[in-house]
Amino acid sequence: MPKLLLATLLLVPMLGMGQEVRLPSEVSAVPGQWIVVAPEIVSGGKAKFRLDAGLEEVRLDILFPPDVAIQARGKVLSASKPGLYKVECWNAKGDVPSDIATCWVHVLGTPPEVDPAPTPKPKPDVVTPPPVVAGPRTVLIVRESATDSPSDARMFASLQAGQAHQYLKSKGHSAYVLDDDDPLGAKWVAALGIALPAAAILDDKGVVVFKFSLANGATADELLAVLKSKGG
Amino acid sequence: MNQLTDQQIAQYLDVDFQTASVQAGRMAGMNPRIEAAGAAGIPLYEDEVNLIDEKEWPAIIAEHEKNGWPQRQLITYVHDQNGEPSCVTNAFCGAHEIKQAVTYGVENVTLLSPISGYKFVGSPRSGSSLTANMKRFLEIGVLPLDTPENKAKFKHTHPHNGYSKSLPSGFEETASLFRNAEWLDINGWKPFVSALLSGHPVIYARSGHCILAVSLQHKNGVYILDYLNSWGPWGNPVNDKFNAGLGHDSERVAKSACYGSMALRTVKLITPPAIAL
Repeated sequence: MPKLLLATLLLVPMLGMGQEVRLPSEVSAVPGQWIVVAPEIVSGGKAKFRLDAGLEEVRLDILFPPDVAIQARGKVLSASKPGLYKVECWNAKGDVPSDIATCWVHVLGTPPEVDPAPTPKPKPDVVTPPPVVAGPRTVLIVRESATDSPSDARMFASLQAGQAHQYLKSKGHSAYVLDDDDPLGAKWVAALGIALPAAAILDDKGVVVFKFSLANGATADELLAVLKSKGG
Repeated sequence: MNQLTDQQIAQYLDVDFQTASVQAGRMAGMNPRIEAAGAAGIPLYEDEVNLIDEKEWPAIIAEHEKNGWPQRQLITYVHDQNGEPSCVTNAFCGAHEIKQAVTYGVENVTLLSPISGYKFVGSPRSGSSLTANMKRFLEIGVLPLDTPENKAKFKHTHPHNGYSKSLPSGFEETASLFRNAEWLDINGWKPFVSALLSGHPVIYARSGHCILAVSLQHKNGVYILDYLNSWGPWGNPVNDKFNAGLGHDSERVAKSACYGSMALRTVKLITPPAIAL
């Protein structure tokens, strides 16, 4: 990521009243990609952060001059493994602390094997995201068909006729693969507002539950992993 | 999907269509195109899409094989032109149905009536050309096949064969749903294989017969092209659903036939309610 863009994302002025921090509710990335988590609002003292294990912080003090790095209000992170990670942020004004703001970092890809060893239960005061309501889902892919690669061909065939298709059918889901030149495809490109090839998970009312750009070489299994994490 | 044995492939390799059509009680029916590749009013494949380096082909083919031959999984129908010379229109319908499957899923493919298009590009004994069929598909379209499902969904349908049967009045309205598509012209072996490996079915012709290339194998250092024929119960198994329909061309024969073939990149959408905006 260019340094100038990083600096813009991290140092942009933020306004607010009282003690408050606000984070984007969710960001997504692929393993190894830099992820910027910057508060949208900071009112009060300097924001403090807590990161889930698995998220690594990129040291800004070795990228920028010290007087610039110290002004950063957000974090630049990366994760080497797919999964759902939590970033918490808070501050205080005087002696009054703010509420804890939470941002979920969704690192796309096939989730790692679950460790059979028992894991500690979350602390009772940890903020959890709203429960995902399971139900029929529509998987929508919009892409420029001129960029279809052999791995895309395998993904589309699996979703529409192969193993992934069997899973979708068994759960009452459906999948559509559109071209961006198609009138409806063009509408979806505008509605999703993310880089192509784009994928979206829709609920049974047609509401977008989650959207993300497909990585090069993405597989049907990876797509299903995201679908399953979003109630599918 | 079971792998074909060398013996199975050999049985349908480099078939002489003139002899085989008589044995199968079918007809060839491809008239050569008269214009050069790139001069038929559609773009050249290599001008629109990056070609795949030949060094990468074996690894890609190995992955395709491991994943059960992607395009063959998407085949939902093996057409049978029966005694009519409509092979080219049958191949165009087959390609369209594969791309519909990519777009909507195999359960939502609308099977098409080849003769509803062939009636306008050929005569009872003449055969037709790739260019005439491509233009018919772009400008008018074809009708859905007269299956019970299609009859319930569409105002106009038509049988698979029967040149003499008239089309229903006002058929253009329904045919236009299957009109727009993005066809690309192929001018050599590299674009032909690049299209195929990227999931785009390729319509090609040789020995006066037109067929639909659907997969490429790499065996003992040479390529073998798999095509979907339109002679009904003829050839090797296609996928888990169809026990016959697949023939094969050696690399030598395929290379000699690839110039002037056409690849189908996309079909346009009939808006499904789940994703309407």
